[in-house]
Amino acid sequence: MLLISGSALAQSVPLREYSVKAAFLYNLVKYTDWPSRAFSQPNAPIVIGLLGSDPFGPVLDRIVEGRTVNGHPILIRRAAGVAELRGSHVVFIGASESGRAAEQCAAIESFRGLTVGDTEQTAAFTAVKCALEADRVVFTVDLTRTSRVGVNISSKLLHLAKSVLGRDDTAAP
Amino acid sequence: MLANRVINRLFRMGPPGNTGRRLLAVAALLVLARFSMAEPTPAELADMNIEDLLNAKVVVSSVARRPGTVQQSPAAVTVITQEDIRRSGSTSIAEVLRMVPGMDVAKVDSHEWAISTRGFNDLFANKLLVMIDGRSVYTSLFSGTAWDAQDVILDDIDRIEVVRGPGASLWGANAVNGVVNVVTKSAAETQGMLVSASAGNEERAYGAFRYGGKLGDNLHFRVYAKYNARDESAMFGTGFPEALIKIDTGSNSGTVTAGVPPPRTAHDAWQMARGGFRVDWDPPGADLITVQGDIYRSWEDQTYQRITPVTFGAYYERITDIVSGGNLLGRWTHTFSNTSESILQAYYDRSDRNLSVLGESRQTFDLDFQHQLAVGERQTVVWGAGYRRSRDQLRNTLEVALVPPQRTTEVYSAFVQDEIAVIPKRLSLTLGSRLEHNDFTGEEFQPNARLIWTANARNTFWAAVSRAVRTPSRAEDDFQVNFPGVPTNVLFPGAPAITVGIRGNRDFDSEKLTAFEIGYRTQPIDKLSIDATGFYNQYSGLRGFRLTNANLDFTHSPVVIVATLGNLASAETYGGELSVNLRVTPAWRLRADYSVLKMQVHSDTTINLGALGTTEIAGSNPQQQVALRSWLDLPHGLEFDTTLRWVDELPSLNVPACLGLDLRLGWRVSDRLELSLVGQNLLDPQHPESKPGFFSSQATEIERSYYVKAAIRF
Repeated sequence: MLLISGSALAQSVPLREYSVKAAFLYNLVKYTDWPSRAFSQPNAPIVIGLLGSDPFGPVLDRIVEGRTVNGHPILIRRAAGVAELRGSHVVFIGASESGRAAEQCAAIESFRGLTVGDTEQTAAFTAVKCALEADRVVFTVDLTRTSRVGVNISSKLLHLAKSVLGRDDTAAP
Repeated sequence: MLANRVINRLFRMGPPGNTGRRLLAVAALLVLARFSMAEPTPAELADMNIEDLLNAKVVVSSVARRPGTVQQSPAAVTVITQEDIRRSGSTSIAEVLRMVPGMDVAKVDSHEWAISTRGFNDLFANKLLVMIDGRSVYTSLFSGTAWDAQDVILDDIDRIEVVRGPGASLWGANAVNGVVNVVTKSAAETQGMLVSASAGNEERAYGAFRYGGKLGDNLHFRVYAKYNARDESAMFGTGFPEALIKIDTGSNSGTVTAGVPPPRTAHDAWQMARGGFRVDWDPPGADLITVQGDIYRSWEDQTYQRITPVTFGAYYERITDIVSGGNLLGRWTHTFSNTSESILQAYYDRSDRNLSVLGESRQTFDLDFQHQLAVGERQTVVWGAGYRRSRDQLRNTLEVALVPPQRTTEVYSAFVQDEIAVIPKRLSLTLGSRLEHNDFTGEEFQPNARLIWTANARNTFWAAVSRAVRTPSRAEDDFQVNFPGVPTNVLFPGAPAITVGIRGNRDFDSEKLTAFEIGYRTQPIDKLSIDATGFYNQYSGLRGFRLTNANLDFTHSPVVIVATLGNLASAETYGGELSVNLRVTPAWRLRADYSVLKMQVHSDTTINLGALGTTEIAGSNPQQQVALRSWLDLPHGLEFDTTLRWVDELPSLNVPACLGLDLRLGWRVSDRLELSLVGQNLLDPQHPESKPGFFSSQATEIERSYYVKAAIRF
């Protein structure tokens, strides 16, 4: 009788900001296509790197625990520097990196990592930007940056984005 | 009673003594209302479909990583986000508050606002508690907020949480009609450089600089500086007789008679400069330490009605008042476990208000402690205690004097609140109370009970009963105010002057409120949400004035007719607020707000002193307010934002109803550069919104305003 559907949960219980953002990261992985060369073998893990301060805590690990996407398990890797995150498929830039997000994002893109940020400073340089608008999590996608990394984000996810940059502007660098 | 047990535990070191050395110095503060419900497990989160996830209401997590639960709380809560602030085009915290449904924000002159909710608004509104990063900016001089002294770089605000209705059981006396809590971003969230500047016809010049950097692992800082220059307003009504205006030419050089100034301007230009810092140390583990501080200085042109010594006639003084101050705050948050967390906070605040008619220098020290813990599976308890000491030194004048000119007052407080999940995820009951001891009225007990029922996925109901008090201010205890009267020799040659004086009263007791509130939130379809609240408030012991001494002893000049302040009025108010949010498309958001307020005041006041008394207060609050807002994202990084606002007339102040339009066109040129063009109050060249209180200064009208702004981030 007290079972509430996922949809009901969405309405009735206010969720923690970083629980929603953690679940969003999982969904981002779910709705992104990587080229096969991004994996050494068909069941190699999809690695989500967390650079610098970690706002999620254990919730992100528990969300991806036991889940696979197209046969790839999901692995969370935390590090203070970009070098240790080399090979990550997605890198979330922590708030602590605000002062050097430009350099960090360039370094991550060089190994074809998809960058995600959620502060004013980090989001300026990431391919996917999360933000709070009123009391909801919204996101934007910068297609010039995602194509630079060679990934395809599904149209279903793009449709839900607050805005999609670089869509009609493929000539831009 | 649970509250008493907590008090006893805190006070076991001995009963309070009479000196200021009592050791009850642990203090209470709940920076966020805590009415949270259990959230889904990570597995449930992973299974939620992405649409639901992006539609989920988010508990706005605070800088200190505490869940603030504002959307799902059994109270009338509004959260203004950074995005709302940025797109409002507002240039001060006071103006940003116009976004709150039911909030009455009336600009008195360039640097003064009357701000309150659910009635009793005027320049010295005393029923709204305002905090900035946990520091109360309430002044015990008049039990209100000096808005001219409160500011931050608006881009550095994370959010502003506003509770309409009493919050006294958590926040303490004076949170009678509402609570405003301004929360700035952490230093880690404001890394890098921000340079922002604007220029306009009313917002003459604005410049802000902020730099955030890293001092070590997990140790971040920011520093900022900000300057504003605002133009003078237009004059409301006839203005003071120019021939009697004297202009202060500067420090101690006396006054000279005015020349012929340009007509119809109110001579209330305003400049402010401020700077500050914040450092957050967030080492891995259980602790978070924040240290922050600000200093400011404000130059406020003003024209006052003053009293000529000896003859007791009126003259008018045009002067630049200087208001300055600073504060330093430290906060230590310690997490014991997932379900237990404590916060210890201390701050020092100094303010020097050097106004022509009264000089006030005040130092406040405040210490707060709170601890939140889960008790069993169904209860969350928050308890805490606090101590505040405020010391002032006044420079008295013939018009306003506080006797004695120096006084120190203290407040000790403790609170406990228990949130009980009666039926988990469905029905939750919150019981709490605050007990405090203050030097004005002794003990004050402020309980409340709140119930929230989540009927189904889309409908939530809440109801609350609360008691709150508004404790007397230093002014109400000790002031002696004189008004210009009939000068000497007017009645007959050699006649004494006759004047009216009002006097404070140390027997003045707290004003008391019993509040009944109900609320309903619904989301009939995903794109539409509606928040409706209703309230019925009963006030007793409200401030009024009675003639206490009209002994016409004509052998002394002046003859003073004395009115004394007392608890002379009662009132019932009722009304409600409605807010409808519609997300038409992901790029277009609409909001409509409506509020209504009815006030019935019963007064034994025998002398009418305008808003300072109570007889005219009902007519100085708008009965109805309407606001329509639109936020539209356009291609190429353009944003077009519109606010249309209607505020009812204020018959007591002769302020007509007003329709106002604000427009903002923003352009995000790149990730680093943002430009905007803002027009405010576009529908008429000027209009009044309020009038000054009993310090008789020039009444003003707000003028149409345009400005352009650029913000660059590195």
